[in-house]
Amino acid sequence: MIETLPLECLLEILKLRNEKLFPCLLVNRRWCRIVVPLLWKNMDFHLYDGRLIRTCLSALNAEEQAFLIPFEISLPSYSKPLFEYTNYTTSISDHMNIGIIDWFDYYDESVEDVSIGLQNALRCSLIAMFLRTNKKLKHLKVNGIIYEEITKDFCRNNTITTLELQSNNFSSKELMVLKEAIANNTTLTSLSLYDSARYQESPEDLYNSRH
Amino acid sequence: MDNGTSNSASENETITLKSCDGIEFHIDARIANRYTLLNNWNGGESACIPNVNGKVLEKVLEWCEHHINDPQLNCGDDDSRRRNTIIEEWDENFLSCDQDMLFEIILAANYLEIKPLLDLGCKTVANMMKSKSPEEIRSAFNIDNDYTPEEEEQFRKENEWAEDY
Repeated sequence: MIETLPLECLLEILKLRNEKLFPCLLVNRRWCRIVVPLLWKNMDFHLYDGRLIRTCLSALNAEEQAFLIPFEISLPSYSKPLFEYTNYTTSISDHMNIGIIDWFDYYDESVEDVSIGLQNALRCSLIAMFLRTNKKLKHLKVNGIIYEEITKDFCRNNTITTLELQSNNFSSKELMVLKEAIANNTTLTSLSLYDSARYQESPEDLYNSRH
Repeated sequence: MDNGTSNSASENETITLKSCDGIEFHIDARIANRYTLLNNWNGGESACIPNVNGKVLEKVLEWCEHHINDPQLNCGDDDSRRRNTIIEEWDENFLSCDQDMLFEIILAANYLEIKPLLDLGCKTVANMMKSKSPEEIRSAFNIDNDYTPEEEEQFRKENEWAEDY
């Protein structure tokens, strides 16, 4: 009889659960269609978990996987995810950096340290995927190098309102690309740039480029 | 009579509601005034409620009557309604009916836009799921599992990060 309730009633019931939603995901297909958006909306807080990174990596397309080619790492043959999960996420944080290292521990226990270059490549491939698949992303915080190809995606994105970028040394070329991308973006309302090498915030030039 | 609500009808006014199976109920007009949809139908002295049968309408009206003097909730305040998970004893007893009736009441409350009763029904069902595994939820509510075993396993794996969430 619960199955005769309209989706909006079932959604209300599941929103009222004050405990974990995971068991509800596995009840049946109808329930999972309701629970997945609820759960993945706030997955941001769990990006430090390698198991979540694994699911996100399984959504990379060939172009995004190509970032990993120089590191001779091929992703395990994950099946295509059952949902476009990341479409429901509204915020991506730099917890991802911890999650990438956590995931690598599962992937290859024999490697003690993941190289910075590989961490950057994995992070960039994930960000490219989030920007491609996500239609609800509002907040994006990235800590580390961002490839030029991805910076250009910022200008095509029309959902992000808050962008925080941290790097240990923005090159002048990176800043130029970023400036152009942000000048063309119409939704951004807040931008924070933090360059730990220069130890100063320098958003003014980029901000001015939009006006 | 001013009872702290927006009701403009007096205590003695009654209207007649007719369920989809033709059963008539003479109710305090303030109940109809309180809920938009009932109010919309209350153009005259009687109104027909399609989609809700007499047995269910009787229960819904019993609840409305008991809560006639409750303060009106701010419709936009969804979060505070949700945070309040306490169910009063009268309401708990009221909804201690069989599952079929419980879901009929939820359906009717949704259809008639009686938000506080809908919330109450949803809270009751949510409480019934507490600490249950997927198998126990299926069995409690007689739900068929339409996953293939492979699909279920993949789905579990893709979301196992949320197991403790």
